[in-house]
Amino acid sequence: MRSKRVMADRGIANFLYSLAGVAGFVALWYAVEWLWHPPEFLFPTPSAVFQSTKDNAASLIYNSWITGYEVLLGFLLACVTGVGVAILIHLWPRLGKLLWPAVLFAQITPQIAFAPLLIMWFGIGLVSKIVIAALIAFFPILVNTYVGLQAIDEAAEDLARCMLAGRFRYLLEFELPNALPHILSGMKIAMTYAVVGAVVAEFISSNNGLGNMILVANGALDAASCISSVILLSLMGGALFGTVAVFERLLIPWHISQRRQTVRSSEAVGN
Amino acid sequence: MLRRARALWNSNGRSLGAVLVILLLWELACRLPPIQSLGLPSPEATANGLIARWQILVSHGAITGYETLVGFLVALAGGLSGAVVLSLSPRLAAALWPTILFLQIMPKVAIAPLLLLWLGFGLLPKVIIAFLISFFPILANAYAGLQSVDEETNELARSMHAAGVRYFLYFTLPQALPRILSGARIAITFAVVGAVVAEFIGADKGLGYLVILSARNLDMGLMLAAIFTLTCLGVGLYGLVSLAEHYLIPWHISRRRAEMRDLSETRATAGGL
Repeated sequence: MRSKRVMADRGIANFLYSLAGVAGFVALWYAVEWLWHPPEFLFPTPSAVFQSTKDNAASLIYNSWITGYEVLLGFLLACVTGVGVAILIHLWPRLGKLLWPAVLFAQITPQIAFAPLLIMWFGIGLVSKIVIAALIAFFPILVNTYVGLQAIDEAAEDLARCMLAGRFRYLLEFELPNALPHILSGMKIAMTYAVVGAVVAEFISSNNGLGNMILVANGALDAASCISSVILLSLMGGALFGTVAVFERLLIPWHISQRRQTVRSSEAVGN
Repeated sequence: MLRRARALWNSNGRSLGAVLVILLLWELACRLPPIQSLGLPSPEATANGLIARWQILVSHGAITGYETLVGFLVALAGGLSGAVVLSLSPRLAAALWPTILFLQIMPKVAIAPLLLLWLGFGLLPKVIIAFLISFFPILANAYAGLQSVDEETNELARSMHAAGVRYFLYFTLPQALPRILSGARIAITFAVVGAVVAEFIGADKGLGYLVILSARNLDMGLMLAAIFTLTCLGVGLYGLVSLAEHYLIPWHISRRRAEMRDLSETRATAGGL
């Protein structure tokens, strides 16, 4: 066990390291500017990007709201359907046997290729973006939930079967809590997928959203605005991922991945 | 051989049957007048599109496959060497890891338009996006693999006086290989997505371009045929990596269930698209 003090120190060290990383990145950026003097419309200075972010603050916030809305609804839709289907094929092993090879196959196909088709069907509005975000976020959740439901220690299973009567009680009080670490790690991945789904859908055709803003700025040869949208999108993706990670920490404080979290992240094993 | 084929049929035959039934129902549904008017492509129209325009599909597929493979191979080389450097220097790893984590969860495809602006409509921006998107799964999984040498092996190596390059080649690398290869399996599916999304945004060839073009022309047959070709490409490339895995680590027999768990763990390390 590590003391709180050591953990806090590690947290500060990690923060300083990331700060140094950002500072190094900006320094590199300025170095490129200073060495090659690229034209401003292609490769703006960091200060130009900052200025453009300030000037476009209102539309940036509005468009992030749109994209965030699409991502969140798509993610929630994927959570409900993914966990639902996983429970269904877990409770019904015959169906699982039938569907599982298809699921494994489907998740190695590039699902994003269906985006133009879905936009054709659901129109150019928000619905098509939500559906696309949900489609590509669906598989990580489904696969992880099913794996979690199946991965049960046999001794614990026997004990739980003795104590919990009824299939549903058994599912709710034993199998689902047991699968929770898997489900949550699937959800973290699904969140980053959902962001990509929404943005790619906006790239293909849209009237608003950060993806649309990036394309419009790009078309107007306004690289500063383009870069500020990309940065905002990355921050939003990071914040959404962080939200799921916080949920994970609150929901499964007992799990090994959480207990070892600080040690691991400082040793840089990641996730 | 025959027995293996039969085992394969037993595990996948039912699924194949289910898919065939769905295709049949789809075809029948498309022939009903109220659905016909919606312009849904039937399996028959898709098959016709595939047969009639296979030359176009193959030539565009070759472009997308080229972009994907080059991006993936560069990511494999870069990710592996990056992981080796990080595992040699824990200090550097600790310093860089927060940045790597952030880049991992950042949507890499978002910078595709910028790359197109800087580098034009050629193949290079697609290769770079495919590289960027598949780099992190390989880096993170290779690093996790290199870190996972267990204590007993370490002691064995020490008792045999293995050190330096020999230690790396005979002890660390073989132990890391399963993890590296499952990272590569995830990465190849990412690389296809990267190449296709870059083609969506701006291209004059490739399957992503073909999908967008046929969507604009409302040519459903060609569109589904292109999506089908793309799926075949993705599955084929995934199959190649799996084949490499089969030959490189024959000792690592992962059963089905273990494979699934391995997959979700690998993906958790890989981060986002």
